[in-house]
Amino acid sequence: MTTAFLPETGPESLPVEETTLATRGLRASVRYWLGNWKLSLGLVLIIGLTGFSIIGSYIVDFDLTKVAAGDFNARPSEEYIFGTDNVGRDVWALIIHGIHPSLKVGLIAGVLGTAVGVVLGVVGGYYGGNTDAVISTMADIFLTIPSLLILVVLASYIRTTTLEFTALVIAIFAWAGPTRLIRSQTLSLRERAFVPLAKLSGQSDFEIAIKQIMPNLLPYIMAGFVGAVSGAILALVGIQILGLGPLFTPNLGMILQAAYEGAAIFRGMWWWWVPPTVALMIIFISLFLISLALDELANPRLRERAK
Amino acid sequence: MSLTYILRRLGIFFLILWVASTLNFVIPRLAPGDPIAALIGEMEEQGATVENSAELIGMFRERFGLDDPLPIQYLKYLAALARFDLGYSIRFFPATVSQIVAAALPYTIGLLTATSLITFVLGILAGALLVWHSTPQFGRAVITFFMMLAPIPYYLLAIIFVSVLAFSLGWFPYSGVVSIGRLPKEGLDLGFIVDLIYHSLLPAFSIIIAGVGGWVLGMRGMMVTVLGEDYLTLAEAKGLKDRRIFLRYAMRNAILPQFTALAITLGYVVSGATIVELIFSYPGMGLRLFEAINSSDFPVIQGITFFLVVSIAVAILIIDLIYPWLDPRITYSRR
Amino acid sequence: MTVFTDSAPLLQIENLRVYYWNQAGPVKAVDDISFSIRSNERFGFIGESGCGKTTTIMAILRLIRRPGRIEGGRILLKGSDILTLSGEEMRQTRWNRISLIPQGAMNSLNPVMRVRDQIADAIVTHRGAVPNRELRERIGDLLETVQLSADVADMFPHELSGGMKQRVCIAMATALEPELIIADEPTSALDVVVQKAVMETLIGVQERMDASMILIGHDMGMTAQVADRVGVMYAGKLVEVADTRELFRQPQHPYSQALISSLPSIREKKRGGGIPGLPPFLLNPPDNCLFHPRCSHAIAFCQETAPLMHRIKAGHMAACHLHSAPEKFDSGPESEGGHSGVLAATATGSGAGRQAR
Repeated sequence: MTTAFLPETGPESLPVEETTLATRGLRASVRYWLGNWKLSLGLVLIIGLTGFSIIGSYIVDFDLTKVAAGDFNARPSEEYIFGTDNVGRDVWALIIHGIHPSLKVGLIAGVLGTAVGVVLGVVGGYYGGNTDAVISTMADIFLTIPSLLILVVLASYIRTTTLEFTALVIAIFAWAGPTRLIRSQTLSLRERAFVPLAKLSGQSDFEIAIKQIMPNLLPYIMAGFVGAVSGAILALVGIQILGLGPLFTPNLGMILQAAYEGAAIFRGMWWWWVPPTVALMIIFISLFLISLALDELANPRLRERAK
Repeated sequence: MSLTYILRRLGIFFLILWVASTLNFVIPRLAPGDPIAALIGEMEEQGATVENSAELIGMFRERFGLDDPLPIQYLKYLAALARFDLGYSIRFFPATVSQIVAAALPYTIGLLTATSLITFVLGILAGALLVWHSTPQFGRAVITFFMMLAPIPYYLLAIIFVSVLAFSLGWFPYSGVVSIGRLPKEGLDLGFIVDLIYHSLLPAFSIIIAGVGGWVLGMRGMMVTVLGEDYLTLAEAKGLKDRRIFLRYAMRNAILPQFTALAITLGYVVSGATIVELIFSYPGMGLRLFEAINSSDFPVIQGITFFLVVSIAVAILIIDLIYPWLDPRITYSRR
Repeated sequence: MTVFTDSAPLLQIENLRVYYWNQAGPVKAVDDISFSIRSNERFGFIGESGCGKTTTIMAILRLIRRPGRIEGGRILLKGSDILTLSGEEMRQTRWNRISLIPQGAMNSLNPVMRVRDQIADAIVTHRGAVPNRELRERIGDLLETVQLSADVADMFPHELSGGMKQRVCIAMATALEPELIIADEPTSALDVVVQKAVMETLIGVQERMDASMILIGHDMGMTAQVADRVGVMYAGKLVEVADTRELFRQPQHPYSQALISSLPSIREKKRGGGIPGLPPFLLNPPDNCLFHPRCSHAIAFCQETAPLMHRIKAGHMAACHLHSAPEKFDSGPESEGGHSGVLAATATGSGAGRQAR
């Protein structure tokens, strides 16, 4: 649940000025985005890693990821860049073919979770009352329940599972973080001057939600999405290390689990566990940098301090 | 503290338990086919390998009441949970799930309570110092470094620690909670306690270092807001000492939202810690969970989940009940 | 009210400059101002918002926050410059000798501390540990002098009304009997009836303590009633200082005239007029006389040379070429007829204001 990385941004920390993102001007925004090293670095890392994996998948033979495709327990060499594991799979090929499926799970769960989160968050924050009470209480409870454990229960009943199915299951918990974030922002946006103004000018609630509130929520929606993606990958790898989750498509969690099961650390087979660890670190750090940048965009006071 | 507040918090407490148990009830029944019937069938096949298998299977049939309609099954299930009756372990029959959990729970609770408190205190203090004007540059650099560790998951850090600190450098033991074969002597065995703490250090470090960054970030954000408040300017105008302004005026206020966040992140911490336990073979709930998964011991898997949710709900209830004492605005109570 | 004393002033400010730095350069929030405050005196500041009043008083407490900086000048409290004090010495000077009644009394109390502890904080920090009982009594007395019940001490800020919070702030500011109390719009957040009562309390306390007071008022009428002397600020400059009655009757600087004529007056049955134009953008201020773009008297000379503070008569200073260089103006008024000429200009100023509406 990477929403914990985003500081609470209550109404008091909102920019004081009434300029909304919609009115701030495209050029100024673009200049800000380009000038933010966290965002640039985060995007370069994640796009680079994705590109590396997708393009690599066309170049590196998929058969190398199969059992007994090469020598067993081989050190890195000219033939095996990252060596091989205890059943003769080429770690380099596993990594290249394993990064994009892991990202895909994050993406599916992230999109689903954010979509549900935006709808529930805007509805709860805008209408308030009992609807809001139910939505926000449920979101808090789903955040509180150790999602990984429930996923473990589920995965232990349904052993033979695909990446896509796992993604759907993870999405059951991925909505709570974005919902909470979007709800609190909608709540404070509703109080700001332009909403009553739009109401006076005869726009319907739906129009206000779409035209007035949505554009201003954009950085938060993106932050919620980034958090949900990162949380989903975190959960996926967690399930896999426990020995559950998709085993047939190569992916980072599977490699790490195999390395753990095969006692890679204690056999000194660093080439087996280090590459998936590094790849996962790059994913988490880049998503983290992006969410930091989004947070600074939405909360200028942090921007000043961050210099 | 008003009665309505306490009642509402108790309501949340039971709501958490209810949602988690219901998910636990629904999920197996969503699975294709009838997993419980399949499970019993599987147990019947394995009958030879499990002691007293006939007895066990009989108990399972009765327990799951497979012939009852779903709502009745559900109510029976909730009633059993309320009595902490989670049935029997398949692997260790006739041991009950509660017995197995009871053996592992103290390690997990001990490890998590200690690390959560340390993580919280360290993170809050560091986050506040990060934006405080008199923090030396070097201190800021160190704190920023730990803040940047925030996105690294517990298990990756644990793997790195095991590899570098335990395996390559040999500074720490890399598995277990005490040295192999070490049992506590009669009376107070200090050596045993030291051994236990020594074995717990590395799992604890993993949890603390992976967790501290998130708190630094959250606290930094709130401190920035609080530092702009009028009451901080007045505190400074009053000529109060720097340390007092920092602790009683700035931190004291910025800490409040962190308590809410603490309640919400507990589930995440528990999830992460179970895997850390597994990596360090620390005999807590995480390791038991892993063993149960490997032996398809479903009652134990569900029982562990249930007890961890109960622990989290209790911790949240405690935080909620402490909170009004920290923030007088919550209950409008007068002394 | 003793206007002339031989004793040195309590507070003397010389050539104070406070700049806020940003990427485009300095914003001169307070630019080379000098004035002094006598013992037991109430000195009022008037001027539009953003003219540097609050920055000036925050500089006196040395509470200018980044990106602001005190760039130069001296702030002499009983003859010694507080800008040369060490951080620790300054901390001991605050509240002990100079206290503050803040602008936002609504949010100036720590929401998680009882009133008692917040007042006690100031006392114990500067006076050392005080026996509990004595402290209780002292705080009770303080609250009673601001017409609050002693029970208020046990309350939290959210349990108090705006007026009560303001009174708590006054009680707090007087706890150590400082020589100087700075009140920054002490009544701005209150409704009119409470405003008057709070202001009376504040003055009562100040007089009993023989303290001096600097008062920034959002309400010029209130300042006129309360202050002994008044300084007019415009765009970071002090443009006129005079005794209150004199200033409000015979303002000499065109800006003061316009400001004062903007006051609605019941006696003259005229509507208050605004001042044409906007205060200057301080990142890119007009040359020399900052007021000339808005001034109905302005001539080329005003743009070429900055006007300095000019003594019009004892205790009355203004920074305008009309007085320091009357010969530059074509129809330059004679030195004696100056007042009537300027007063005529007042009418013009307010006339222009009305047209601008």
